Amino acid sequence: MSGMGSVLQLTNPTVVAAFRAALIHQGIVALLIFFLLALVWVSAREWVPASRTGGAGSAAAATFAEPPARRVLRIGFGILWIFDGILQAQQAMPLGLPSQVIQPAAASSPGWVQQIVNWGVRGWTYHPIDAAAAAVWIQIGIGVWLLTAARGRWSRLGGLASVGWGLIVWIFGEAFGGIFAPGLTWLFGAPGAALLYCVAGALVALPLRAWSGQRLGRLAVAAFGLFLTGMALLQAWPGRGFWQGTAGQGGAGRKASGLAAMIQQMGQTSQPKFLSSLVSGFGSFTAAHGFAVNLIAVIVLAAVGIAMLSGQPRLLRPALLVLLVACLADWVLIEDFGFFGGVGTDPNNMIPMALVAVAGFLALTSPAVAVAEPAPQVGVRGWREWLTPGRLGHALGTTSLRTIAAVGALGVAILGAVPMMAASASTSADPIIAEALDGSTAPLDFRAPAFQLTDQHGQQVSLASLRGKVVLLTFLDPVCTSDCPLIAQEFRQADQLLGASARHVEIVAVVANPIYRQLAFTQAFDRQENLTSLPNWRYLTGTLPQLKKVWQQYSVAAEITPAGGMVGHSDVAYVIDAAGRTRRELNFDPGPGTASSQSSFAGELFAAAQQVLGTQ
Amino acid sequence: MRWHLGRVSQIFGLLRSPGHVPVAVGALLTAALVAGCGTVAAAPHAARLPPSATPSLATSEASATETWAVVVMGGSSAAHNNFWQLFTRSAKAARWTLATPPGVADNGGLAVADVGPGSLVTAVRPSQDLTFTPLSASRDEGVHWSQGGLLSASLAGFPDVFAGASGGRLIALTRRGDAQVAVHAGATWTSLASERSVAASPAGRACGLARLTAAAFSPAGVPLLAGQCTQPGRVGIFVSGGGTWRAAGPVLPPSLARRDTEVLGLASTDGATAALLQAGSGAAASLVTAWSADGGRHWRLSVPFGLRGLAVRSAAFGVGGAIGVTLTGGAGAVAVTGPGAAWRSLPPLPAGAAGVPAAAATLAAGPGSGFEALIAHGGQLSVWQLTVGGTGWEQVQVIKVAIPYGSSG
Repeated sequence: MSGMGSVLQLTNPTVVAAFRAALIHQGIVALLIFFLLALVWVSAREWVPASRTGGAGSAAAATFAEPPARRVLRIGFGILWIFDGILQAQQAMPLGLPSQVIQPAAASSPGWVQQIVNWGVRGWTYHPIDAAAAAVWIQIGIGVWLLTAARGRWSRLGGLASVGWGLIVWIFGEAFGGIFAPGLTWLFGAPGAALLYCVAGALVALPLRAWSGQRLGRLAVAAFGLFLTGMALLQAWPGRGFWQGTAGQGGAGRKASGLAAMIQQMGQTSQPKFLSSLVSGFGSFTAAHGFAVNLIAVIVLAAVGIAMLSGQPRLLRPALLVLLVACLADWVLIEDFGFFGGVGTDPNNMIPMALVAVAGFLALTSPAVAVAEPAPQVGVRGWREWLTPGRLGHALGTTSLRTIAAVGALGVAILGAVPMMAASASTSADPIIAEALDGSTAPLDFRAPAFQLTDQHGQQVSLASLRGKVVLLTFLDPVCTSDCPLIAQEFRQADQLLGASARHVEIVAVVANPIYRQLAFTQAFDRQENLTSLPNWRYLTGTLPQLKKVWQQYSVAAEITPAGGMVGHSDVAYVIDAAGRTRRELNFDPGPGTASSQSSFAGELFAAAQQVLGTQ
Repeated sequence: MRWHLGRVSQIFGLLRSPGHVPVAVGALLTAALVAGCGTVAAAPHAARLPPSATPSLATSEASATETWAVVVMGGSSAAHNNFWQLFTRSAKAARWTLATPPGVADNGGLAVADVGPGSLVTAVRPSQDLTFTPLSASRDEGVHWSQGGLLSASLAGFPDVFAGASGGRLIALTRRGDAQVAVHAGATWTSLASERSVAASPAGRACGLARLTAAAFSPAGVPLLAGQCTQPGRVGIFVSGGGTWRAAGPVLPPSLARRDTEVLGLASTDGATAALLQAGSGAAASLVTAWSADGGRHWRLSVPFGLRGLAVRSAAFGVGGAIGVTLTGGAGAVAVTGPGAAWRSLPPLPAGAAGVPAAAATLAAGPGSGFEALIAHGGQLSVWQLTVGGTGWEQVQVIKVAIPYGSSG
């Protein structure tokens, strides 16, 4: 009924089922990709006998020794990407990520940041299934890529992929890590976990010769030290609220503020009770001893930062140990692991931070010995030579299984990205949102009840006079304050989507208010909703008995609500074919009336109209 | 890449000297401690906002035949769960009746115009996605309603911007700032004046008109517009004549001659026009009532009532020029019974009234020369009369209203 707008639950069964189905289908395709690649690889190795001797590839493997620091980054972030991809498969992600994660993250940021984030949010809310599935497979793909490609160009490309996707997540998902918002603190994730994935990816993408010697390690450690020192200064800066555990009037009026408030909020996330108690307890402790907690944080950050800046080996090891302990403590007690609540996207930034710190330490203290890049293939005069069957077969046969797996991982990432890119080309939202709000209906086939009413121009209009055109019929209250204006716009959008086909369609609304039904009101509604310029729009009214008859024939209720309420009426849309037969009945309660839900309903109506047009 | 690595390493190499490190650490720690200790958690400074001079949309008006009052009920924090209700009381009856016109959601407010004995026209202030103002008409004091016309704009956000005269004539002040008049219960509206045109008239310029705040008909049926003047000592009441707008407001006494004034309320009942004025602002503001029986040619003024920093919550107009005003700060109320009478303080409104939104409480003149207080809590309206002696309030009626929560989306 109008005025009883439904809200889309984050775990709406329709959306969850569609999401799971998409993941299963794409998962099967992913397995097929790996299976086919494996098949081709095995066949190539059988077909090209020379490949059994190994050739140049074996010589390269013999001289290749991946630097320990690089291995830490590659394997650590590979595992993290896979874990994040699995988290992205939580059932609340399609509907929950924009409203529960992305928009709150950007809420305190400047307007220009919110505009950028909202552009991304729009894409997600318009195509929630495709977007959520894309995030799953892209991240799993990148993770598998990093884990399997240990050397050579493929490994470095994996690092670049980590940079690329990490940047997208950092900008659109983390609002630039909150660096433009007030209250930035290392304790709660600055500068954004995704940025650390970018840093790690960039380091993995470096050529192997960059890892020889101590220069890279020295630079990495120094940069890390500078970052931590800056964070210490920010943490210590007066007036940012971190030195006080509470704020407000004395006694019972004082409430947790700053860090304590943030911790207590994390404790309220849905999670195992013992963890919630632990975090809430620490929040209470911080509220009572805010100064001390912040002082410890400042000292730790400053000391570790200074030690790293110094580059002194005898200081680095203890500093690293202190940092790892601090990261662990922060991850458990303050960030609360980061992935609870049903829409957690990653374990926050402490693990990535620790990995980068360890890698920097290893790069400085255990630099790589002189390494050789795998020797390039000789005798190849250009890329066209690669496309010959012989060359391709030889290349496949001599390629390692790891590289084949990496290619498969790239395929998985593309598998996730392509449907989302295709969906983004559409201007209307996925009809799944409309189906989730109001359910889907089966096709119908019965003669539509006849009517004869008066349109907004005072002309008599009957259903019979519209024969030869598809009729999209609904019932609207001209003085409605919420649903009917939304439904009118959805019909308008559907008409726009029809494009040239709109000349075969009539959009018809019948007044659904027993009191306010005069032409002046239908005309006022048309002006309000900018429908006066729509050539195929008709808003019909009549005498009360005439209207009551039509309402009854189309099973539409129109009930007067007392005490200042709106007239309650059914929100429904009928699709009547050119022969006057009802083909579809759509529940059309517009729900929350967001841009994505409106577009989705318009898309649903457009699809239904097209289907009927197509069968004529 | 190689050069940058080397160069940056050299810069950071400055800190490699063992002696520098503890000094740097110490300096940072000292800075941190000083910063922490030096931080004074400044107590939030509660900004003192000046009291708003705009009364709520809750109001009432009494005529010889009936009294009507509008208050908001529901009380949910969601605006679309607050519904305005119209209550009427016949002059012959002692009890109030719910008379809200049906057919349209009135979350945005209700304005009422008296267009003849027993005849009312209501204008539903649009809310949410509705942008025009539907009207309803009744000939039996709100027992039965029929669809009236519509105003193709929203009413301005002041209580007395919709008024009527006998024969179904209506005047309305819109949010755009223009005044329109209609006949036949709003079937056809024509533009009367814009705020700009009134401000540009000689009278408007003399007043320094900032905004229009009220509209009414004089007892003779001539449109009156009223507003806020920025020129001290001027009262912004205007009447149309000779193709322009003429000043029709009272002359303020010398004690108020240096103050800006704003017309908070304007009503014509039973042959007279009453205006509620606020002269000055802040702690120096005073309430003055003015009455005219000849369309603004001559006025009688009340003695000023010093508001002492309080503001008007709602105003009610009664027969014979009676005006009752509820105030902020402890839910106090004051009233004046007519020309020549002095302001008198009424007992504080019943317990809890101070906590209700301003729009959920109003006075209503009568029965007799007294006042009643109508106070809404959620879905219940309680009616209070002054006790004998006027020292307190006693509850005389309770009306339960089935608020249609959730019906407006």
